[in-house]
Amino acid sequence: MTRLPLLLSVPLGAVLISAAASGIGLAVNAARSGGIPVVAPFPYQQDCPEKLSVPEGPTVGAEQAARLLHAQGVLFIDARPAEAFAAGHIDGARSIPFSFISPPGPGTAAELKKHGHLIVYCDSPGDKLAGLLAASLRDLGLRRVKVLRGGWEAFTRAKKKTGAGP
Amino acid sequence: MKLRRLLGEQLAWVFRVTLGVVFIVASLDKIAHPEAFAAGIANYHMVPLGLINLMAICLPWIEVVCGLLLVLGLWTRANLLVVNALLVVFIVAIVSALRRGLDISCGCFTTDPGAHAMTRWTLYWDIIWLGMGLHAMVLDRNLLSVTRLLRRTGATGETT
Repeated sequence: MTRLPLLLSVPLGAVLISAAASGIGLAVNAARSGGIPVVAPFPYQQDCPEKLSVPEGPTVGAEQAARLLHAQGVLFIDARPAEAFAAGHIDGARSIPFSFISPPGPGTAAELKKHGHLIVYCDSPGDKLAGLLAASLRDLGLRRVKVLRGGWEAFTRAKKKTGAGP
Repeated sequence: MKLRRLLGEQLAWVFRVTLGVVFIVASLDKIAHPEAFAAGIANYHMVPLGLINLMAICLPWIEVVCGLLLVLGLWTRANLLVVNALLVVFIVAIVSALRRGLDISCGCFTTDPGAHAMTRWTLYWDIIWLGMGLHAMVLDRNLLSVTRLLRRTGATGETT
């Protein structure tokens, strides 16, 4: 068999190895549950969340939210990471951890549309995660999306005070 | 002659295996957390948005595959070319980030944004690894490698 000259075979080998490794990466990403979209759908701003400006939007106070617990057509959405949700959450809440890289898509929006009112909460200072998730839900055409002021902590305090819910 | 072999072939083997291990270790956290790695790439503000995720998906796998092949000693020169090219890209990115005064983690070994901030030492380490990669690329003779083993059994005659 004729050998390729080194000047050709080495770069060709490098390209083939890179392509094969990339192919493995793309296949694993497609197959795994924590895979990310091949093209980022949303600008990245994760580096400096403290400098992040959260889009303004309607909010709801903790006591009012506690009274709305289990009210018909109201869905609480937990924007915190899944681990925080697993450790404790508002009864009946749905977990949608906010991520710049994988924000909720039209499928999630279609599911949420059947609920009349959405109350989004988190536990980050200034309700940033909730504010960002609420903004991305509004971008998807959902109306009546409110941010729970003070988030998870304020809600648990208010729930004790009002005695609402389980 | 002995010294020449020590500084040539044998040192090249040490460098090749070291680089292989470094690249394998560097890839693991990125493979486990592609989302965080994508954010890490974005922090450099050098890659267009449309390419960030693709890079976050593919780059760690290129690192781990090249790392494994370097340790095994298969297609050594081609792998060293990939590794050296990646190191040049990393060096350019780090120099650019340092010059712009970006207060970010380099994302080299961990995707944790709170990990060690990028410093000049991050750059120095990459330059050292590039030196090792170039040395190995020129002087590696497939010492303790699968390639040499296969050659002995006559299964392959690859030189890449």
